[in-house]
Amino acid sequence: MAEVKYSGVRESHPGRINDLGSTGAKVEQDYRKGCLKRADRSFSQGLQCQQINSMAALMSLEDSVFISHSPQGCVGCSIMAVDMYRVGQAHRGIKKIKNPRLIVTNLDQKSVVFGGETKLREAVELAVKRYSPKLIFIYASCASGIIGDDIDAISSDLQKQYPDTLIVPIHCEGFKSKICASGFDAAFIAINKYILKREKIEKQKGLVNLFAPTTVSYADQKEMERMLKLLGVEVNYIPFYSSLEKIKRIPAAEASTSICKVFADEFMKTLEEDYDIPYSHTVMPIGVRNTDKWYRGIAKVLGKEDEVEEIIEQEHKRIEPLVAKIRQRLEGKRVFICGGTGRSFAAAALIDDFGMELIGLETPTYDDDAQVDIEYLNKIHKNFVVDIANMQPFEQVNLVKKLKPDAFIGVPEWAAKLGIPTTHVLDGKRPTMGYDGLLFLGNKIADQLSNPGFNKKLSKHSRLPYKDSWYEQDPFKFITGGQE
Amino acid sequence: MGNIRQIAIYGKGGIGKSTTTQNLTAGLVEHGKKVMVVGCDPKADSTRLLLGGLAQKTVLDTIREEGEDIALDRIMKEGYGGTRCVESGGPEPGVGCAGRGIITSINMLENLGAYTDDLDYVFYDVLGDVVCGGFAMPIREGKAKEIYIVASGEMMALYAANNISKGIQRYARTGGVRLGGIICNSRNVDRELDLLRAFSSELGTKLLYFVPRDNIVQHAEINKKTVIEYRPDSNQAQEYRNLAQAVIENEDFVIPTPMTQERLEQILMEYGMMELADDYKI
Repeated sequence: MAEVKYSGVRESHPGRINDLGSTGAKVEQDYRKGCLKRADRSFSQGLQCQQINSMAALMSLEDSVFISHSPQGCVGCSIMAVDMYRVGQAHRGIKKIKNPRLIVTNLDQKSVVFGGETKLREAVELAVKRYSPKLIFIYASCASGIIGDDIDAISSDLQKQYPDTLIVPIHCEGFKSKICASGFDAAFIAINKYILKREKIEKQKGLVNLFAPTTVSYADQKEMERMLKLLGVEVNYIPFYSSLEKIKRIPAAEASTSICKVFADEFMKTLEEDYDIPYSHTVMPIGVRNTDKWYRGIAKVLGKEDEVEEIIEQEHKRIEPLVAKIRQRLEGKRVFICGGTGRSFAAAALIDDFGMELIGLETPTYDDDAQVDIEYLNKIHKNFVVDIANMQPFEQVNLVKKLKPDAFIGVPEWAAKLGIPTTHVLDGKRPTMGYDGLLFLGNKIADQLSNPGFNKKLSKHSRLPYKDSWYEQDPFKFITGGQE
Repeated sequence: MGNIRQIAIYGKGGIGKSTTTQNLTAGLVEHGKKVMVVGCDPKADSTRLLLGGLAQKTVLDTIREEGEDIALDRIMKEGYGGTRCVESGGPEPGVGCAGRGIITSINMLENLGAYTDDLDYVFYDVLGDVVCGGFAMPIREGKAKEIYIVASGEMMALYAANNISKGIQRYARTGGVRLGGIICNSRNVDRELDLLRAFSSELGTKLLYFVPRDNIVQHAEINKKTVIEYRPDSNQAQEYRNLAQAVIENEDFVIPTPMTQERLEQILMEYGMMELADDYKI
């Protein structure tokens, strides 16, 4: 029988839900009974696309040029990744801060009719001439995908012409998936196919792949590396701020783990299948419980269960008094949480450290992994709303207004305008993860609560674009289908 | 532009759309009509008989080489009897998007003022199957309001005609396009006339005209001429004149009622295949 290959589209896995309005207790029960079906929204606000996530995943790689084979507008959203990269360099002490080398082929009306091959060839030629990079990534777009430009054939032809530069085409046509993590998968599938090539290399004892998405701050990187080094391992931190050499070392690792449980789970599975690298897939290390769980997960894969318990005990001794202090400031506060799939669940667990109460949770996808988290959360928090949505601010602000939380943790653009104290949890510039990150995050939430002046003023001077009548309505009225 | 009759010709690939359209055009010219033929096929062979060869540079080639700032006479050539001939053209086979090419060139024709008031007819000769939105461009809002489907008594030709009717039905709801009838380009199959009549009536339309098969059409094609120009006195020339007359007089425009695959096969069994099975000889 022919081998079944993962397409890079996360919807291809059964049981993954994108759009749903429910409660913690109900969603757990419905999912267990198999009553949740994939739904849709009859009205929806903008979503991320696969291409932008494939780009963001790699744009901090050294010695690389990124070619977007697309109309020029498709690279508009790269601004966030560029900002992250620039700040990330500053944090890493780099004096001469660079922008990512990004070239867009600028597919126009003529290129769509006649094919964009010439423009793509010119872009690669320019990239080689101007930068002599070790790597060129070619990103497919909606336009190049619809007209069927054969980026694989063009890449392989150009590869002969430019043997010193590795050319990697990525099939991240934006329309393929509504789940943004599919963009990461497309990038990793291409890395495996064109860079690692399923060639097994000599294993290096004690080397661990640590996958991190772009939104992980340098402080978090250092904290996770510190924790792993306490276990006596060497860390290969990828793909953020890494290089071709580091990527080539991936198959030499003894084990893999990821800071974000969604970012590299598919790729780590592939690494186990193709290169015999076992991996740990647990939770995002936010909060004491999740950090412990994450830590024990990778320690188990490395056969260091005893060592990790010792370290955890010491870490707990160190931070518990500090957490208790923060708890005094936060106990009993009601919280609404929103974020990526990994972060939102992790943050929901975090608030338990501080004795806060979860009243609402917004997360982009629901699947087996989410079910494990919800089962845990349901034991602590009795009654909370669950909104399965990739942001969808209109639903979020409706819920937030109804639920009236004391604090909002997540992506705060909209809730801040309602005057509610907010804390960013997708903060790529400040600590969030591990034992040290927890302290910073806890204090950040507490500071916001004791001094919400900025958000209050903001709410007086800005308004969200919705009519008052919207806030009276059912926040989930636009979700169609989904339940049987 | 109000009184120009804009007509799109669809049908299975190789059925004779271009041949029929150009011979029909020659017939209309004899009636003193002003006609423009717009070829909407990347092969760019819709005006060959009117122009006496593939003498024309396509709209898309012109845009590619000279940019979008071009004059109308760069892309429009005068052919037999003062007909205006345009070929949309398209990308090389296997690359780009031919459908988008049709949209681009029809927009270009509009922008350049090709649809002058003195025109009586505009024909769009469209690639065999309506493979994507681009090939439906000629029947979108404000363009062709009339469609004729060229078919024969062969199974696949009728299958294609039925499929095209589904597209017409879709656009009829929003854009006001109507089916004017079926033109049979005969392949001399058994009981072809009866079959085509039954098929047309099932679609809710009529068989507009039955063009018999005649080798003279091939001779004319080899000589890069329409039959009317090549042998004005032949029977076939008269057939095309009659077809032109039928188009001029046609007033029956309907939203077609496409049939299921089962019903289509049933009609075929009734009129064609049954007898074929009985008469089977080697």
